[in-house]
Amino acid sequence: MNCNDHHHNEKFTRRDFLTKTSLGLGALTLGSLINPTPALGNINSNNLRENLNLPHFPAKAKRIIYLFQSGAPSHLDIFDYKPLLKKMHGKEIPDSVRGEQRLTGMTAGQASFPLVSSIFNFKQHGKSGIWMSDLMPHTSKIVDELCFIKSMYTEEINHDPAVTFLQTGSNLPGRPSMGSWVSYGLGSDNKNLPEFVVLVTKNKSGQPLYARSWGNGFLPSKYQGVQFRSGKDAVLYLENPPGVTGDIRKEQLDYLKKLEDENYNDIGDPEILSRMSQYEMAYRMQTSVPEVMDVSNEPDYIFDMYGEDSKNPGTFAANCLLARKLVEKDVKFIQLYHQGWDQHGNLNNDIKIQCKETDQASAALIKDLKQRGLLEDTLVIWGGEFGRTSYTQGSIDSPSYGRDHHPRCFTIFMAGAGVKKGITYGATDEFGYNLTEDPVHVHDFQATIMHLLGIDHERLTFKHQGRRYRLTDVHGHVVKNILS
Amino acid sequence: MIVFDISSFFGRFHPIVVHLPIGFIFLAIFLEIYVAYKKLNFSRRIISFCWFLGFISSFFAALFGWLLASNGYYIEENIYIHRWSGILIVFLSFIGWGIKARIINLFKSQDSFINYTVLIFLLIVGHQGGNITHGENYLFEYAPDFVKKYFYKEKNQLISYKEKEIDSIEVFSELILPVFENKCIACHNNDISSGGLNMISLEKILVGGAAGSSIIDGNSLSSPIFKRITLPQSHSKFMPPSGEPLTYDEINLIEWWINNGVKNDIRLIDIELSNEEELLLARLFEIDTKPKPWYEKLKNLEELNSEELKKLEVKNLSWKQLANNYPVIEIKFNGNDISDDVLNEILKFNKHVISLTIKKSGLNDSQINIISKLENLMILNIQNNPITDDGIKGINSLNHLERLNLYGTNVTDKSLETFASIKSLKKIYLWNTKVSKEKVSEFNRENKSKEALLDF
Repeated sequence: MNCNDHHHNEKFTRRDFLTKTSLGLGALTLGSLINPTPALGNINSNNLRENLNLPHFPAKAKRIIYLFQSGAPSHLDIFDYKPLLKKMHGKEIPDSVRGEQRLTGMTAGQASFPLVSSIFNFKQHGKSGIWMSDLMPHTSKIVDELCFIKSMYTEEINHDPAVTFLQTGSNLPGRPSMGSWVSYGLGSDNKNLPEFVVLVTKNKSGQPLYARSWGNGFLPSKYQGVQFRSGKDAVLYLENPPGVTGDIRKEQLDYLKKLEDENYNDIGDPEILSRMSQYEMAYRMQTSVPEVMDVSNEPDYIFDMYGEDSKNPGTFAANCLLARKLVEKDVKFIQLYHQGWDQHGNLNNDIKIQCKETDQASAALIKDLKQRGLLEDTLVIWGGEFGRTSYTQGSIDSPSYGRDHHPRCFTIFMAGAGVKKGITYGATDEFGYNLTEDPVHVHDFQATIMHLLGIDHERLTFKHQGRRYRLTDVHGHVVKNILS
Repeated sequence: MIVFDISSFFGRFHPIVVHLPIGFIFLAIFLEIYVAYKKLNFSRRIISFCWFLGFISSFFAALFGWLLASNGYYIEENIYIHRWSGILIVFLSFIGWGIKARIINLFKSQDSFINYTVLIFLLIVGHQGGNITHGENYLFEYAPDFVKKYFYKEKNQLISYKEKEIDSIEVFSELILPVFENKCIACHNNDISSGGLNMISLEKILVGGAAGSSIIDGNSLSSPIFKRITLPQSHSKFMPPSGEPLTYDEINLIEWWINNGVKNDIRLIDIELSNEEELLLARLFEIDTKPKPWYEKLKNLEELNSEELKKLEVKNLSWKQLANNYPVIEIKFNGNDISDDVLNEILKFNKHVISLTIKKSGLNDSQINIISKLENLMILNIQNNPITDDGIKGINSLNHLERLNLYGTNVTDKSLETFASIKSLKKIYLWNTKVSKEKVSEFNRENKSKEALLDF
């Protein structure tokens, strides 16, 4: 019998209690006979995980850095070169290409859907000859390290559900995020830092980010992502209040633990354990976090590599540098969010700004990881939640035209552990509108990430509300052809 | 068009005629028992007449059987017992007739003795015949499980080389010949070589048949073998003329083999495989063409001792099992000052450690000698330690080392020689060391299987 369903095997949640008692004590005894886990043994976070028998197989990737580009970057202006659009610029998109699927409310009412070619120049780069536009000069230089998937597609047409879908495997809020699953499944390699850290670029606007993107869903709350902020307090409320020294805090916590242990023995709510482990983590983080956030020892050439922004805490570049530092400290899942890619209008200006903010630092991160040997077991992912249309939103004659949401295809790239280098997987049609080769669904993408981490996505499950859940729900196939 | 062939024509009456001797002989034996049991006054001549009929019909059954076998759709070793026990029955039924007709008179118990003997041989020959016609599993396919367990052979795919190393798989004898054995050799062997072609060995196949060589090396499309197996099935020259045709995968396999050069001692590892070809081999033979990492071969190590593992934690070492079912571990030092004492603690797992990380901990040259005793080590991360070329010399005893991270150490160009001497080594990280750019690019040119990296 798989032990996964016994997430809090020894203690009962309210739901467990009702289920068991309604069947009577006999059922309880029978339950422990069938599955001989100690009925009242002491449990801690570590043996909770040992039951999972993970990793299922040797992992290629030990850590993930996910550079999430919120708002959906236009694949047509950065990655997916479509010469036909140049020829057909301004002409109506053929009905046979557009199909009959839903469009967003923002363009559904448009009288015409003129195709628009990218104003940016595309060139082939590297030995692999991968096409990139001049929006990303730094990333273009390292294409031979990258694995492009040009055939990503999703089912969601709007940001909130699409981000939630990509991050949690469901468009409805309430499921654990990818990082939480990883944290739950694989545990920590560094007891002084959380397994799952989130860094959000400061002062960006656009589509809102919700904490559920790094939330724990129905998993115990200790598996949620911990956001590190820029500025004085990286983690809010981590510092001791004035007048409280470290020793006093330690003593406090030890005593609190005694009390809470009794409390737990009385009530048996697993969240008590979660809460206690978080208190203790916070205590350890009082020294480990300032240490990892401190970039004063970084030499100048490293700052130069990440770009001028990197000296300004809270920028994407500074966060990339921090991500590298966190990876060096064996943090398992680091997710960066960079908002502002939602170019419904002013595409040509705004996408330039977005690329400038992210290009150099993304490339620098990959290069920096590589020279330190970390790219061997770290996977870097770069991408948004969907693509953008090959027809304009707004009038093509106005300089402020944009592109609308497009779930039917988009491009992401990865680099590092376990994926092939310098390849392009999948393809879109000549309009960059429909998929023509090797489609990769969001669930396939998730299954592949899990696979790289040594997790069989079908076997990492958690029982909740009477059924077992997993990140990929009942879907997902590992994209074997991109694995190295 | 199929021409009239007298032996094949009569041969095909074999399956019909065989039932006659079985019936006659059973009838004779049954009558005898019945008469004896009921103590009837019954003419023995009827019994001996039945035996006579049994003899005559078994003679024809055997004759037709012989003709059928001579047309060559059967492999001799499969029909050997059937053939000779059939002929024995002809003799036994003749003797039986003699005994029952009181022509032969030897000893008293001969009556029942001949009954039993014939019965036994009838069972053998009948069962063998059934197996040849319907396949070995026909009889017990729907038997209850406890019977099936003993008599039913699970039919697998052709052959499985799942557990085999790909560098030991021979292309002709292990991949191609099994297909021929399954589909061709019945009619193209040492005894029967239809069309003059014998396919028992590569030499004989290359010699070919009456129409010349059966294979044009490197050119599947003009090779008669490939042409014949890919004709429309209704074509009179389609091979094999009866029985199951080659599957799509098998045809692709033969094509791949012919096109890649037909030689006896080619091994799978000698041929570069495309993605499709890898998939083909995986489907047909379960061959995993991906090179297997060293830890796959360490699965038989003794179990990890969890008590001893706990002691590692006391020494500020964290450890992790590579994966469930793999008794190998990765170890990381979490402190900033490594001592011999700690390293000796790691040595207790000298066979189990496949990855070791000791960053920025003052690891010195003499301590590397301790590390070099970790015989299965594949990954060594010792960046930012005061290590020099002298220390690096110590690692050349690590025969399975694949990845070496030395960034931020004091190694110089001299160490490149040591790297070159470690066969298994694939990647060396040398950023922020005293190794020069020129020497590194020279090293990478000379050592195709290795990559030394400075900065990006």
